[in-house]
Amino acid sequence: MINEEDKTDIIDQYLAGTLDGELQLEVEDRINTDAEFRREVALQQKIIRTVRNRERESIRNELAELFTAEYGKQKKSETEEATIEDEAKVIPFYRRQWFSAIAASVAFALIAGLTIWYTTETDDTVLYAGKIEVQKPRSGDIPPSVPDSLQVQIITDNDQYNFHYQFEGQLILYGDFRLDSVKLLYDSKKQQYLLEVERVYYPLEETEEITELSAEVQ
Amino acid sequence: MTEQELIELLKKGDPRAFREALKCYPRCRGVLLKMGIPEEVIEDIFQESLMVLYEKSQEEDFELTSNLCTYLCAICKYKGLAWLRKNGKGQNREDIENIADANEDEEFVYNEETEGEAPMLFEEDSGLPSEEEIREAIDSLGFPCKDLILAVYYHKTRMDELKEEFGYKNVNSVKVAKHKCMERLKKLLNSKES
Repeated sequence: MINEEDKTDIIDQYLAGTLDGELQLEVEDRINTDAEFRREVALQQKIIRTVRNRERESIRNELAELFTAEYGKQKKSETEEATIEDEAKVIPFYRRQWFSAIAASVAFALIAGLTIWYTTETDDTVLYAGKIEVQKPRSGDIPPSVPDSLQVQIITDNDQYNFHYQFEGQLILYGDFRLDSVKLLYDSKKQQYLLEVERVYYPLEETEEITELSAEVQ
Repeated sequence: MTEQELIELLKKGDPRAFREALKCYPRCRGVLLKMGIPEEVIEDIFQESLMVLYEKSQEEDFELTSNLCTYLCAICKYKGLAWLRKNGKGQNREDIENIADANEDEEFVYNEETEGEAPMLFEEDSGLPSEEEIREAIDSLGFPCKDLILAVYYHKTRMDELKEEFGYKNVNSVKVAKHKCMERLKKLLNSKES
């Protein structure tokens, strides 16, 4: 029996062709008799395809960049029209750290000075790294999609950024912080994370830009 | 570094594995040139083959049946043949096979006949949001929903790994979160439609 909680998983398995006998029949039956369910399956299939296309494009652009860094510009392509800095802004994909690392190691030697982005990625020392529990500050329940803890890195020796953050998948704090001197809270009402430093709350916008921490306006 | 260690690094997206893969370019380029692939296409084919290698490495049962360069060049060769077919460079299957055989030094270790996306199950998707609208909606989800959806549907990250990486209590929490995120996305898309 397909229930609401299992629906996404069951549709995934159906689309992947890995569903077992009875459930397979049930899904097929629902598709044939329930227009709303049929549409949901179609939408989920299109979402999955879109995710794959989106990520492939991002990774393909990164690979083109790495390739060019290693072997030089052999032909002009549309991906090469953008500057490296622009490319970096375009691709905040999951697990991009490894591409950044390759780009930094391969490209940095060849194009040093072109992009501050890579410089800050490679030169900074992550002094503290770990997980910080996400606490609930105000009324309301934390939605199930909010994790119990977040991966945090603290960079204390950046010349340019001293009370800043970058929040893209993981939280990077720039400045004189310690893992045990900050708290992370989730405001269910505003659907926003807050950083607590010395009893002052700083709202965290999800951003790949390195942004100055600015105290919450009450 | 053993092949198995290399695969482990590739799975994790470790830079060392990709540095190794990039070293294969001169050899793969040679294979493609020998097949008669124009120079201006070779770079694209190689990069596309790197993509395939990365995506293959994400599969749980992936094994390298030869060394990295042989495997990567075999993907290039397969893609080169596809390019030749598409661009009418071989008159018939026999011609194409002759071109393939001309590269005897490259073992055909990669041979995925059904490469590419499966056809859409529901062709009549005119009532569905466009790919552009879906992309916008995914981007607007923010962390962790966007990242979770990308991890599940593209990187095929295992639930136990997601638990660690996203800091969930257990695997079931990951499943619930994924379901909620997908529901949120669908709701967002449906509200734009109406």
